[in-house]
Amino acid sequence: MNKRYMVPGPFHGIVSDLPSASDRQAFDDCLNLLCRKGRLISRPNLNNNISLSPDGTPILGLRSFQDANGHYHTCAMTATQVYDLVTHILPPHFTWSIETNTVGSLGTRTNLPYSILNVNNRLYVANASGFLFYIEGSGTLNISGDTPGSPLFLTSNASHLIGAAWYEITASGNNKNFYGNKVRWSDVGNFDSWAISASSTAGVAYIQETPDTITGLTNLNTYTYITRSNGFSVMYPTGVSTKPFMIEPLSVSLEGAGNYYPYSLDSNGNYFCCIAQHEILMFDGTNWNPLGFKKAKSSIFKDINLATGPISGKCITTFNETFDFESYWLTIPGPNVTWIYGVEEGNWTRINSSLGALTSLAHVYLR
Amino acid sequence: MPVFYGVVLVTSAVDFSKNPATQSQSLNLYIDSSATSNVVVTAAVFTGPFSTSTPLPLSIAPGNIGTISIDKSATTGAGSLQLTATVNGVAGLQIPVQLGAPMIAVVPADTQACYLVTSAIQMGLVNISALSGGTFSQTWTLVNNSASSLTIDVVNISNGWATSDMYIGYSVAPGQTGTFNMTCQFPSVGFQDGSGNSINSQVFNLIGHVGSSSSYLSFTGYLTYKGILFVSANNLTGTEKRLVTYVGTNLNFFDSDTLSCEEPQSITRQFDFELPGFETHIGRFYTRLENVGNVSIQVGLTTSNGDNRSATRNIGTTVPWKVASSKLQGFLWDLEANGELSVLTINIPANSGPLSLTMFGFHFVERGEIYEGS
Repeated sequence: MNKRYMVPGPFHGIVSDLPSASDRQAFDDCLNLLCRKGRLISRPNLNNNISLSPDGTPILGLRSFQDANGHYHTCAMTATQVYDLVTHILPPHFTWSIETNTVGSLGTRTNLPYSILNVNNRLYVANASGFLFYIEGSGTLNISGDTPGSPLFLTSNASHLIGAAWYEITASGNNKNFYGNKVRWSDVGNFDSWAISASSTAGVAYIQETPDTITGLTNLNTYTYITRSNGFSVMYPTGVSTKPFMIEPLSVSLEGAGNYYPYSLDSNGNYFCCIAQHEILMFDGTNWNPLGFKKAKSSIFKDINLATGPISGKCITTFNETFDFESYWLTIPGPNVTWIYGVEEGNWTRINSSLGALTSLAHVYLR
Repeated sequence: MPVFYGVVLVTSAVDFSKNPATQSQSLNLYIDSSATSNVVVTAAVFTGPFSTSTPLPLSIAPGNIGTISIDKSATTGAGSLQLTATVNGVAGLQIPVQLGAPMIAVVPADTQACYLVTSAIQMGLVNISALSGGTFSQTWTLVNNSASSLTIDVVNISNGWATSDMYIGYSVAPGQTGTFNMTCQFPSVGFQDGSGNSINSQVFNLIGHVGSSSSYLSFTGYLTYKGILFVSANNLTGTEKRLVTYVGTNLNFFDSDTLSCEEPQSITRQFDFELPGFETHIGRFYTRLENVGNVSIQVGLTTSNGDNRSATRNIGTTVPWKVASSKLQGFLWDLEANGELSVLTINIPANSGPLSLTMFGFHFVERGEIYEGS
């Protein structure tokens, strides 16, 4: 008679904060495998090359949107240009070409990741380069009205476009001043009107009560969360045109219990994730859930300590229509590794590529 | 716009059509001269209920604009104006001034038995810029409930719109409704609302009379449209969406239909085999895999005593990923472990096939007691 053994599963992913022997379903390392639906599966193939980078510089932003005429677009942003991606379908392979938009001078450029907001059938993009721009689908890049410069972070609330941590052009037009505590919002219903006047509901506020700078913007429900290095502030609409928003501190600390790594912030549905100085946090509007605690925190922060560029976080829901995978991806350049937290399974694995770090992660239209 | 000896005189429009016929009113006529010497207006001859209070002669210096007040009395009726001027030293020139709008005092049509039916043009999501300069046709209905024929004398469309005067003289029989198409031209620039839509509205005006009446009727309608200002470019169909990332120098997408990872995959786990009473053990690595394809797996064991063992198994199935009848398979590998601490590594080489583990275990039994896998 054959002897049957009890074997563990589903998997608990990488657990480095405790000896793995104490958890029969955990691993000390799990590379290029995903914990999904109770299984441990190979990471989907990434050898399907789409296109060379058009100007030889990294793509710092990637997003799809549907324009006002009902057409879909996928845009890629580098440090020097913004591109539309155009498909040339040759089944079974997808080959893309990238065509340059007709754009004017983009001003002084940065190598920072883009903050991208899909609103009003447009993509608003900003990374402290030149101005706040928008793409409407006509193949042109447009400056957002009378924007005073470019913020680092974007969101919208109550029909206002909101930007935070502004690089604003000086009166001479030659230089920029950085206002790391400044939050600006546009006129209501007009995302291209930023001038503050008696006839406009555009406005500005400074987060000056805390010894840090703004590191991100995101929304949960009707609230806009202004993340800072050492805490969080909450911004909510008042319904009063003369004072459209109230801003109040949500948490304050001195040692980075906020969004310490600016581009690690991303949201999905009714939660957002980010990295504090001591923990990977998931906030659901009420509770702070430590994603790394007693799991893989020590290994993740070991990689973070080796980072050579911005650490980017991205909430992913699907690979395609038949492969859902609700997860939070944390890419760390330098070690060139992406840590993946599977929300359904509640565990971590990690993936990599011999080509380098995975950046500009987005679920976009290929055709 | 008369031309005399290279001199251009441009006159502005004077339009009394929106004023009550029973009230007097004054409007200015502007004369813009390109002459190199003074233009002297010496006389102004009116017909109809019009006159001027501007003292004549009126001298207009080069590059300047002269103003002549046109005064309408509190009566109705059509009229005209002819100026006499001295230009470049030539006196007594009769200048047939073509006024941009009729000097007609009218009665609002809504007090009469005749009226105009107009409708707004709702363009919806239309590329206005593609239509810029193009024309569109709008149907208008003119209702004549009077006892005499209604005749159109003047067609006015405000700036930005173009049309012909082809409907001057258009007649609607008594008690009838006349329907006609007006050809208009899209302006090149629209006004954008907060939603990125272009909106525009222009005034449309007809002036006519009934029978032999000297009372002129004014019909006013509004042309409005709403649309999108831009033409979409570099369009995608929106039929396929994938998870895309930039890596190295390329954009790539994760092909979730192909679980054969292009990079090596591995699982590492440390075990503490401090089991009293056994000097040597046989470790059995037991897995259950879904039948997802042809995959080769290497299993290695390194003990704290330096004993390294490995085994390779090829699953050897070719059933494609996502087949509904994905049966489970069990595999048993025997590896000798004779140390207290051991590290198990499972390596899947790059491009070696898809792997889907559903269970995973590592079991130890006494030497010589080997069980067959189920």
